[in-house]
Amino acid sequence: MTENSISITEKGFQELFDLHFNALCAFGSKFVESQVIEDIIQDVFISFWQNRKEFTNSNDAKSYLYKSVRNKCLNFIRDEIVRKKRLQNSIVFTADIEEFVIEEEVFNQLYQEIKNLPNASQQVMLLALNGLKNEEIASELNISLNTVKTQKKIAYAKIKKRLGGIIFSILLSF
Amino acid sequence: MKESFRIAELISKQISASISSIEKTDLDTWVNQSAKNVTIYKNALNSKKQLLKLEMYNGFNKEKVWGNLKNELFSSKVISLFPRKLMKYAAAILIPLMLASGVTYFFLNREAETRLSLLDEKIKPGVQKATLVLSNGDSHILDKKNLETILNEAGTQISNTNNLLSYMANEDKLEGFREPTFNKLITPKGGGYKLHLADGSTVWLNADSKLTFPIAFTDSTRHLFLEGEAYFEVAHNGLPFIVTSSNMDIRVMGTSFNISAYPDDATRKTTLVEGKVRVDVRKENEVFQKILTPNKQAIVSNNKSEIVLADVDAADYKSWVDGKFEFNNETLEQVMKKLARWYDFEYEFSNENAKSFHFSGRLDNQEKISSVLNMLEKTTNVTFKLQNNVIVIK
Repeated sequence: MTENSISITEKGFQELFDLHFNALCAFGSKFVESQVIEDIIQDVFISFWQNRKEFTNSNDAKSYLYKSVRNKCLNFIRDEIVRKKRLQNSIVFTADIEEFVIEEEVFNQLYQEIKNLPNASQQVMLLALNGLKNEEIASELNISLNTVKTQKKIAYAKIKKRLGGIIFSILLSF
Repeated sequence: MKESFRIAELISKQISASISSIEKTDLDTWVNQSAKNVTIYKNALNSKKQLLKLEMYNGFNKEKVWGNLKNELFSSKVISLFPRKLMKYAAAILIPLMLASGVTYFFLNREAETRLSLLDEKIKPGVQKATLVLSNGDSHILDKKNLETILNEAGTQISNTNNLLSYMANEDKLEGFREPTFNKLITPKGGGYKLHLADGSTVWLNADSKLTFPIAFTDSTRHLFLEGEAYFEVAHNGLPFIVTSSNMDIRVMGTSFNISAYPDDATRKTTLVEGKVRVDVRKENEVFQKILTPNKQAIVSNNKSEIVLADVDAADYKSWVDGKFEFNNETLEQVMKKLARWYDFEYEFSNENAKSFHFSGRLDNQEKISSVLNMLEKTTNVTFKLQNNVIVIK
């Protein structure tokens, strides 16, 4: 996302969505059940696009997105109560969302690195990124040491393919 | 929020072992700032939790949502200002959206904002302030203005610097056991104070509370009297430390615990963070006793003498010391009581049903009262209005 443009472009918006969709859904799931959360995130991004002139850097944009998710979730809860006239057993409300934001942002960074891998390799690579040794990964996931090594091989091969593509295109341009 | 993004960045670098030494120092400083930060940090590094999150992240349907967004925002048909999806929310939300015309989406209720912001003029969050009453009855007001006031009472030096009241006994004057001399620290509504006792113990006193304590520890026990709420970090010195609140005594040797014993609350709660504590409740000729270990809480109801033990996260009950409100599945009635002690206002429920809404959550205690009440309004259908200096809850 370019920081010197007046407001985010369509392409930048897609990238922003791509990088933060899952994290925002997980964050919102703390307030409402998962069936509803995707609709709420969709509304959040629509609102964001309609207000894009206000955001000139990624911190402002991310800040808005998290706060907007929280506010729309709280409104949803209120409307559920008004509509169905049922009192929740316990309403979680918090002005202090910083700790939840940190939690999601940290995990999201890890997730971005492994999300393009097949499911089985994802778990292995996640633990590897955390510094776990092969034996530890095997015991944590309850699989054999060989399986761990195989999954790692698959993961590296996929990464190399991507890197290979980049090198190839650099070669082409000169 | 910007700080949170930076902290997240640092923690990520820590995980991938790409953190510089300066960044590591910054991260350590943040972690050491509070118990909550320690928890956030540990949770972020917990691989079991990460695996669960991975499953959750993969469960969301990004392609479907992007498809919807592309259709709504970027297709060549006319783009409506109010996309179909929003319609399924109640009309109450649509109206503010139309008025606000896209400037500030998060403050959805303009009317509430105006009505509630009037409160901020009259009702402010609490600050550090208290009154100290000496053994001869003289009282001194302690607040930002009194810096380094030094008194000398019966061989003990009392100083007040930076919102900390400290007692230091002159060793050579203490001979054997004698009757202790007591001072009293009183906090008003909207106040709070921190106190260092002569034995090295520290006490944080919350709003609307009274603590009577010996200025030096010359007796065979260290005996204090509390009404309200205080958090104690007791120094080990071989003498038992006892806090009495009406007919309840809490005995420790050296430990950290919180006592919440407001006369207008239905229960008195003692929560142990670290160490060991014994709670005694005296009724006529009987004494009921329970021993607390860390993360256990003793609950004594006003009309009963029994002590009920509960398992809790003790950090929740001392978060007020770090400047936070913590509500653990509490009724609106209880929430209002706590807010009123800190913000110092009168309130009244004109709707009995509203009393029983339950809340859990954390708030910073320096939040404007209008933001706090706005949050409460957003999640229920109560409204708050200032009438004749009283907040009326409908």
